[in-house]
Amino acid sequence: MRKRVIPCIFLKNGMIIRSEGFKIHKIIGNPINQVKRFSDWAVDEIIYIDITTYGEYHNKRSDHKIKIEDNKIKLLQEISKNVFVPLGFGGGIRSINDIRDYLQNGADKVVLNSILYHKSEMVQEAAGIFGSQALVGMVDYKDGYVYFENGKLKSEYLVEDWCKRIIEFGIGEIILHDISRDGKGEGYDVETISQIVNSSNIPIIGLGGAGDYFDLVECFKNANPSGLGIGNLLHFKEHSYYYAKQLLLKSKIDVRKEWGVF
Amino acid sequence: MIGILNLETSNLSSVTNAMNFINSRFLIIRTREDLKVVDKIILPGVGTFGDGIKSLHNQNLYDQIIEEVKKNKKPILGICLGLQMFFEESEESKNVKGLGLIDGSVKKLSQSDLYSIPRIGWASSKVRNNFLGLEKDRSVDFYYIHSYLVKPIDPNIIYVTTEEDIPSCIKSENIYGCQFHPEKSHVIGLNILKKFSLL
Repeated sequence: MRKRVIPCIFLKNGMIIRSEGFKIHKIIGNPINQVKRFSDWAVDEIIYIDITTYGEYHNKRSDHKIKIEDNKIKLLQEISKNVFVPLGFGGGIRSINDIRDYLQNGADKVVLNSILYHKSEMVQEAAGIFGSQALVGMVDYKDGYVYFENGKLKSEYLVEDWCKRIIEFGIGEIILHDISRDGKGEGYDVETISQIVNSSNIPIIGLGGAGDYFDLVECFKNANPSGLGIGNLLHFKEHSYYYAKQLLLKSKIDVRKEWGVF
Repeated sequence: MIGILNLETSNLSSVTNAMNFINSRFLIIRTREDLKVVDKIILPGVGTFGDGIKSLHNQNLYDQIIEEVKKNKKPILGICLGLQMFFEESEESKNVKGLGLIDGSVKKLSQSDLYSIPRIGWASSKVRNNFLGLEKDRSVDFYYIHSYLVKPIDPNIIYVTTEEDIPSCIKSENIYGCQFHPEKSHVIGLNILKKFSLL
C-alpha cells in the first residue's frame, strides 16, 4: 500500500473553516469549489468533517456563485459530484440511518466520533451491515485522554485503550487527531502515532500539527502510519499538495506518483 | 443503456456521479423488467457479502441477474463486493449462496507486512492481460478497500493482480470484475468505466 496524504477539511454551517485548538474557527472557503480542486489534483483521498452544532444547521453566506447547500446531505451530494477519489464524511452521525444516508449520497466512508462513546452497540451493528471498511473512527485526544463532542467532552479513556476498544467494535480505520496540536503547525505527535501503529492491526492515520512538508516526512519515517492528514497547511500555500508529494518522494516515502491538473 | 444495481448499503452515488461525469447513460435498477431492458449491468458494492445477496433477494432480482448474465450474455461489471458476489460463497457470510456466476469462493485476506486489514489505500497493480483499456504489462495504482479476496478456480480469468498476487481484475466471457474502486481511482479508473460502457 502506498502511504496516503489526506486533506482533512472541517466544515461549519456549509463553509470550510480554519481551526485552531479546536476552538477558534475562521471561515476560509467554499467546500464545493475546494473539493473539486482537490479531486483535480488527484489527491489520495479527502476527508470532510462537519462540525456544525447538531440541530443548528444553517448557512450564513449567499454571495457565492455556487449556491451553498443548507443541509448536510445536500452539501455532500454537491461535493461528491466532482470527486473521483475516496471521500470520507463525518460529523453529527447518530444512527444507522445517518450512516446509510451518507454512504448512499456520496460518501465512501463515514467518520465516527461521539456515537462511538454514546452508542457503541450501534457501531457493532453498523459494521455488520456496511462492513468495517466503511467505518472510520476519529479519535480526538489531548494530553493522553480521548475527547468527544468536538473536543468539548473529556472522557476517562486513554488513547491506546480507546483504540483497542473501537477496533473491537468493528471500526476499520482510525484517525488519530491530537487536538492540542490543531492549527499549531508544530509537527505531528509522532510518539502517540507510533505507539498506536505498533499496537493495532488496522490502518492508522495521523492528524494535527502539520506546519510544513518536512513534518510529514518525519512522521512517516518515525511512526509509519498508513496515512497522514493535512488541514491548514493546504489552505494557505499554493500547490501545497504537489510539493508535499514531491518532498515525500525525494525522501523515499512510498507515495502515489500521479497528480492531476493545476 | 447501463443498469446499475442498488444494494442499499452501497456507495451508489459515487458510481452514478462517475457515470454522469463520463456521459454514460444509466438506469438504477428497481424491477426485474428494468434488468430486461438494459444491455449492460454494473453491480457496485460496499457492505457485507450476506447483506448484499440478501438485498438482491429482497428486491427479487437475484434470479433475473443470473438469467441476464448466463443466458442472455449481457456484460456485467462487479465492483469490490460486487465482484465478490459473483462467486459461490464467502468466508464473510457463511451459509449464504452467492450469485455463482464464477466458480470459486471469497476468502479473508491473509496477514501481510504489505498491508493492514481492512486493506485500504492505493496500491500498485500489475496488468497481466488487456482489461478494459488497461494495457498488458503496465503497472498502475488503484484505490482498494477490502478485507476479503476472490479465489477463482480458473486462474486464467485473473487479468490484473496487486500486492501478494491478490486478484484485482477478473474477466470471464461477459463477466468483468474489479476488486478496487474504478469510480474512486481518478482518471485511470473512470476510463475503465468508460471502456465498459462502450462495450
